[in-house]
Amino acid sequence: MLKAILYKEWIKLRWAVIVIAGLSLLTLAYSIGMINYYIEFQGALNNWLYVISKSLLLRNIVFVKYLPLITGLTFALLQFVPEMSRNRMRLSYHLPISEKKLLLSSVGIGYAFLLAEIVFLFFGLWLVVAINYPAEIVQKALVSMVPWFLGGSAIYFLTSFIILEPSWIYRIIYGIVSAGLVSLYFQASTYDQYQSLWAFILIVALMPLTILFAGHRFRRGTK
Amino acid sequence: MLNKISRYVIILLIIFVAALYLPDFYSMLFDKKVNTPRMDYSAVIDDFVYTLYQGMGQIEYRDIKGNEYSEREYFALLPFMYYATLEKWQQLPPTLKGVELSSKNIRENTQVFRIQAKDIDFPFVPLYLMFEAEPDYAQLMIPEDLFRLGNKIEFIDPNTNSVIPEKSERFQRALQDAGFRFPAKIIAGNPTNRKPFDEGYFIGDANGNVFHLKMIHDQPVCIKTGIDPALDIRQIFVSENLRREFYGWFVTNDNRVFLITYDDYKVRELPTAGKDEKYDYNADKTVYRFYTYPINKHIFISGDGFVRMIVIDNDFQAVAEHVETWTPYDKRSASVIKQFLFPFELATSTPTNFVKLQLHHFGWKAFAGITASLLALFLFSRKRPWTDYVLVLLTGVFGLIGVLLIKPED
Repeated sequence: MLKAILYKEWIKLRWAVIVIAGLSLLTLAYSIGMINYYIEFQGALNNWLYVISKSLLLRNIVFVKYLPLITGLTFALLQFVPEMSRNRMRLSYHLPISEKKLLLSSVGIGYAFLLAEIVFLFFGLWLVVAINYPAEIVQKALVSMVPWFLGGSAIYFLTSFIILEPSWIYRIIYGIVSAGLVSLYFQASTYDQYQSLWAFILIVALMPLTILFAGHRFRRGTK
Repeated sequence: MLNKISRYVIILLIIFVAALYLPDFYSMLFDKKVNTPRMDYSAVIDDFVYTLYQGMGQIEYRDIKGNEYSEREYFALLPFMYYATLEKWQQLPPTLKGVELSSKNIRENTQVFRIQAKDIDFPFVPLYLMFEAEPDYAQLMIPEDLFRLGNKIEFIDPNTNSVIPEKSERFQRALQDAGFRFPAKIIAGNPTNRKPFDEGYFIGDANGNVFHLKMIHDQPVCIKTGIDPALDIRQIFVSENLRREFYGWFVTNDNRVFLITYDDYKVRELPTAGKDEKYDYNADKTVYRFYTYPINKHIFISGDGFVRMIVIDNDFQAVAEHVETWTPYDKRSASVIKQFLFPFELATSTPTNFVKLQLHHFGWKAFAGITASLLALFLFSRKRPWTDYVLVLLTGVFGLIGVLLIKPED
């Protein structure tokens, strides 16, 4: 059964996965280009000083900040909007699998694709930054990306949850709460500003559970 | 069962967001600015004076005995502060207590610094610039490499992103010969060329000893300062000033402040504590300001609801002290009502420029809000699982919002 769900989600996501993979490569290329541009025109030493004191590197890799966010949103929309239009989800509920397992595996599969992108960006950026900068800057840059990745994960789970929710009033409430949650992960203006990231990770880890309640309400047909 | 858990996860997220934003919105709407006095010490009348903004463009100038002054009279009381204006008005007296009062003399004998929580602990990239302390040029030149200092000292060439072995070894040897124990714990310098000269870095080693490292004619000079490791230094600050009275200053873990003097690195303690502990310096909560003038030195310790001002003479002997207080933030009416309304608040910003999740709970005052929330839940929406009541009991109005918005499904 899981194989079948995987296939179904893959059908929905395949074009998006390919496009996002392309965008990820472009993001890396843009980052390399920007870093080299600044090193060329500022000179290596001046560039390092700007990177250290003015957080220039965070501006040069800015697409890494937003790409997981865009990806999370796109995947959630592509996976769950078709299910909700004309209540197609009802068909899936007739499958010989519990609704909880069904929902969690759909979300799990979508998230696996998002996670693959995050891992790719993380190691890609590691390579890109390590060519030009010393270990101290590389370490700060990598740690600074973690909240962005958490933000992308959060928007994926929360968007899926909002789409699955059958009532529009609830959707609006969830939308406001989600905006508050996602903005938590984009508060840094310089490197490595988040102290004790565990609390922020825990909040994202709780998010997939919200989907079950929305799915339950959908089954009951609550409006 | 899982559906119930799922509902509570949603409610928890709502409580979380509400506790993060609602108290902030409340403060944004209802907080009022409190005009606080700006203290100073007049060497003319040997007493504390202050200005207080009264609203509508009215400023009150007084001394602490209650005498009121005009603006011009007030400026004349503080020649070290307003010498340029007084000179323009031709009201700067030639001498005061035997000290020549000229713009030049005052400027050359004045030095100021401030210590805030965000100067002590902040996000930074641990790479440093070592200036040539005796350059061939008129001003300090930005060097062509950076260095890292952890388990060893290494200079890095940005053009090749690689270590410069020869220079690194030279500095490594200089540190070791001076008795430095790796790894370095504190590294303090002043990485700018907009200063009259360079004193390099003050570095705390693994044993708590402080070393002074600088570069003269491309050669490392490393001196063990002899500052007592038992002082338990938290952060050091370096500031090159032509007065050459002190290299810099440091804060210890027990909130004391010392100057590192040019007299063979002897330290001089500055006053931080006084009669009333409430107004002592606390590096995490208060701001420490130090002004040295030709006649005396002023110290301000300002915190929530108070400023303590201490005046010492040039031999660091206490001259006068005064504490001015006003209603601290959490005693103001808007803030008190907030503490009754909300049982706690969440915040992410810190005074040190980090992002960190913090919970501030308002203690017993929370019972008012919680009781009202429980009552409201009981009156308006009775048929509920007992867990909803427990949640409201724990989280007050935030929980009430959560459980009312997200109704239970069976």
